[in-house]
Order: sequence, then structure tokens, then C-alpha cells
Amino acid sequence: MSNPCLFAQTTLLNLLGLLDTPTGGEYLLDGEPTDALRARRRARLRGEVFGFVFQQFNLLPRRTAEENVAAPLLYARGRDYLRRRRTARELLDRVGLGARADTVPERLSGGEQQRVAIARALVRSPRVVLADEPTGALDVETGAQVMALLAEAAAEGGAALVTITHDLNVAGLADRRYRLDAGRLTPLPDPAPTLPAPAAAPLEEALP
Amino acid sequence: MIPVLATLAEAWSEVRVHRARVVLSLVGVFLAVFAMTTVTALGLLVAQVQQEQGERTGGRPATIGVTAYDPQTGMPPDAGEWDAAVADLTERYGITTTASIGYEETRFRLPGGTQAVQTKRVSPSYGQLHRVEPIEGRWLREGDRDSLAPAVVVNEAFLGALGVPDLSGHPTVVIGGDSPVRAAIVGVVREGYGDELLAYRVDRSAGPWDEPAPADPSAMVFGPATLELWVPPEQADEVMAVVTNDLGLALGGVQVDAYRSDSEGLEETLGMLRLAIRGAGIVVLVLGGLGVLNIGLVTVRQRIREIGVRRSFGATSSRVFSAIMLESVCATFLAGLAAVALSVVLVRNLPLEQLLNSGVPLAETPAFPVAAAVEGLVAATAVGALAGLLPAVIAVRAKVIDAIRF
Repeated sequence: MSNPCLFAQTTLLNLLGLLDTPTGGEYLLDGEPTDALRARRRARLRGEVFGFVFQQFNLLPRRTAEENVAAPLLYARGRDYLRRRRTARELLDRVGLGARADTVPERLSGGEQQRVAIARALVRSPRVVLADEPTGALDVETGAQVMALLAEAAAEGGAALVTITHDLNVAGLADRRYRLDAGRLTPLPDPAPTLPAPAAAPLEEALP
Repeated sequence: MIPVLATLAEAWSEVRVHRARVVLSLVGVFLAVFAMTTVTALGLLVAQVQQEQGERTGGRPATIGVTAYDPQTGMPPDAGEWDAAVADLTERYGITTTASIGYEETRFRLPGGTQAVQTKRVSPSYGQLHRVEPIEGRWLREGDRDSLAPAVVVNEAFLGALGVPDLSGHPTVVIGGDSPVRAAIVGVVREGYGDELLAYRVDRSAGPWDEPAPADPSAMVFGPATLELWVPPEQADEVMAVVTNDLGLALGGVQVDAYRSDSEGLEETLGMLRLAIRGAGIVVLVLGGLGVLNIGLVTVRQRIREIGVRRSFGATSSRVFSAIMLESVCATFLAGLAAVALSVVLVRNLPLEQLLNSGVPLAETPAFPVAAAVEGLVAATAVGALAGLLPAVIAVRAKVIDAIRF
């Protein structure tokens, strides 16, 4: 998804991830209307279905990479909770940071921090990973590496990856591209992501 | 079970990560709980000392003193008749602890010459009733009535006048009079002012040196012998009326007076003292709690972002609430624990008997009051909960999307 107006996309992502509620319209998750969900259930679903990657990484300060990756499992149940440290190590290995598991974010580079964030987003095996400008705070080269890793890790974990980006290179990696404009989400044709979309559908209808 | 464990783990990790902030905010609680626990514990000890000192003079609550004399002659009733009447009375009303106290002067032959020493002739149960705690040796006992050498308990000034440092050499002293006898000093008590010599002897002993002498009017200068009855405080008034009546009837024409000899008001005075101490402790604790609350409020604003991130992991409102709450409670509980531990160490190691009771051992040395320790912990935890409440509410109410936006 790409759009000049930043807030609209973030809002869309927040809506998708159950972090925010729509002021109008309806959001169906697995065919179930989400506005009727109780706050508790929303929170549970959010943790189980989605993984978030933020532009500013949003790692928990002063916790080691391992603790950061394990943090979402504090809200998981049973074995997942009890095995959280081991799972976190495995995920860190997968993003190539196994050796830096005991390092706090303050001592990691931007690229490393985002890799920790990717591991963290995947630690509960979400069905959807929502990434809000994941490369926005990184230089081009690191951004490309991180993006490749994110796409690969999400695919490996069997998660759909939804990314907001202004970076056409990042957008180029996507299977499907949409443009968000004035509240309308429009599919972009594959080869030319920069072309303006001809028809516009209302946002509510475009969402699953 | 898992959510509880997870919440605890989260709270503990928060405490660990924010060590400096937590420690800072806890200094107040630590000091408050320490002060409160120590002061409460000391207060209880002081109260115990006060009570024992009061009891040493007046007897334990409720002690009823009974005296009897012939209103015509001013002489006490015949000893035999009196004993019989008292035995009858105590048996009838099931009064288990009684003591009799007579005052006389005994002529002891001391190195500096024969000296008349004020002596209390008491039944051995006097020790129990008045909480007499010898600093050396033992108190009088029933067997002393039959022993061949009279047993004497003296005060330190007496021992000094005898020129004996302590009881290790089993000192004796000769009691002068018509039939002199060598008495054994069996115990030393810390009593009397200055150089005043005091002695205790058992009453109604069977030895030949205690042949009943003809009633001596001069003995009455010290007042008539007193009978003391130890009864439950709530029955004191009833017992006084009954005793006056029954003994008066049994002895016929004898004036019987019964009165309360223990210091009745002491309980209330001590109650007030405890209350005042408690009040001061609570004020200090509230001040400490305000410190925790203050730092909690200031930092929760900075932590809203972190909380938003946790929300994105699926943290429910109740988890966010309990994590912040528990963090505060965990921390103050630990501070309370440390404070109570320090307080126990301090109170245990103070030479309290030297400081408060002029070195007389306490009859019942109160252990460190468990109530004070538990109270300290509960108070600390409660302060933690109260001080955590407001920040937790703020954290729950914060809008997630605002929290994680850049």
C-alpha cells in the first residue's frame, strides 16, 4: 500500500490489527464482525492473529533482544508461555541475531533492531504480519536487506505480510499492491506501481 | 495459572529493568515501614516493661488486697482463725492464686553490726503475683517453709552490706533475736532506693525460730498483714464485696477492707501510647506512599509507549492494569520485607532490659511482635497497591494508537 498521506495508511493498519476501531463501516475478521467484540477478545485476537512491525522498531528499552522477542509470549498460554525463551532464541537465530540475544536495543544498530522487531512479530506464529513503513528509519541498503528478511521470514512462518511503504523498491517485492487515496483503496496493476488507479472502491468494501 | 505467572514475571522484569526508579521511590516506603514496625515493636516492649514494673508494686490485674483488724484494739485477728477463714473463702470461690504479705523488721547480724531490716513475709505465690524476677538466684518456694535454715531473698544493697559480691559462695546471714538462726540467701532482687536494705522471707514457716510470738503492738507500725487475691479483672468488684462480707462474718467483729491494689489505669495509658505510636507510623507511611505514587505518576507517562507496544502483543486491559499494579506491589512488598527484617535485627539486638528496665530481666520477654511484622508487610503492600492504582488506571486508559505513533 502506498499513499502520500501517512496517517490514513497507519489508521488502516491499526484498524486491520484491531488496535483501533472504525468510526463508520464494518470490519469482518474471519467473517466475524469485529465491532461487536469485547475489548478482551479483541486483545486476544490481536495477539494471536497479528504481528506488528513498526517504523520506529518500538523495542522495549533496556530489555535484551531475547526478552524483547519473548515479550509477546507473556500473553500467550500454556506451553508457548513456558517455552518463551527457547522460542525467542530460535526466532533470533532465524533472523541471524542469535549471537546478539543478550544485547539491549540501545546497543544494536537500526537494522539489527528491526530484525529483532521482525523476530518479535513472528514469535507467536501470526497469520498476518502488519508492517508500517518497516524500512522508513533505515538507509536504503539496510532497508532492502531487512525487507527481504521480513518477506522471507513471514513466508517461512506462513504469515501474510501487509506492508505500508512509500518506497517503490519495497512495493516492488509485493505480490499485490494497493493505493490508498482519499479513503479509497485501489488495486495497482503489477508492472507499473506508480500509475494512478482508474477506479476506486469504498474502503469498507475493499476490506475482507 | 499461566496468566498469573506471566503477570508476575512481567512485573518482576519491570522492577528489574527500572531498578533505579523503583529503588528511589521505595526509600520512603522502606523508611516508613521500618519506622512503623520498629516503633510498634519497641512500643510493645516498653508497654511490657511498664506493665511489669506496675505489677511488681501493685500485683497483676486484678489483685485484690484484703486487710483485717479489730476496730477496738487495732490488732490483727488471730493467725490461725484468719488462715482458716481465708482457706475457706478461697476454696468456696475457687480463687487459685493468693498471697499473704506481712511486714516486719528482722534483725540481721551484718558485718557492720546488727541491723533491723524491713522484711516482707510473703507466701511464695507473691513472686508470681508481683512478677518478681530475681537478678540472681531464685525466688522463695513452698519448700522454704520446711527447710532447716530460713531462706532469704535480699536486695543488692543488702548483699553489699553483707560484703558479698554474688551468690556463688552460698552466703548466709544470721538472724538475731531470742533464738538466732543462720539463714541462707537464695536470691537477689533489684529493688529499693539507694542504700535501703530489703529482705523477703517466706511466711508461716514451721521452723522453731518462727514460733508464734504474742501479738506485738509495735509490729503494727508497718500495717496489718495483707492478703492478696488474684482474680479476673471483670470479677474484681464482685470479689471485693463478697470477701468483705464473708471474712467479716467468719471472723466476727473484725473490720475487713478489700481494695484493688494493681494499677487499673495502666492498660488505658498504654493503650493510648500504642495508639499514638500507631498514628505516627501511619502518617509516615502515607508520606512514603505519596513518594511512590509521585514517581509512579511521573514515569507512567513515559511508559505509555511501552504499554502501547505491549497492547500490540495482545495485552488485555486487565493485564496492563495488573502488571503496573503488581510492579508497585512487588516493589513495596520487597521494601517492606527488607524494612521488617532490619527492624527485627535492630530490636533483637538492642540491650532493652538495660535501657528500659534497669537491668531487671523481664518476666515475659516479648518476642519480636509478629503482629508488628505482619502489619508492616501488609501496610507496605497496601501502600504499593494504592500508589500503583492511579498510574495503572492512566495506563489502561491511554489510547494505544497514540502510544505507539512514532
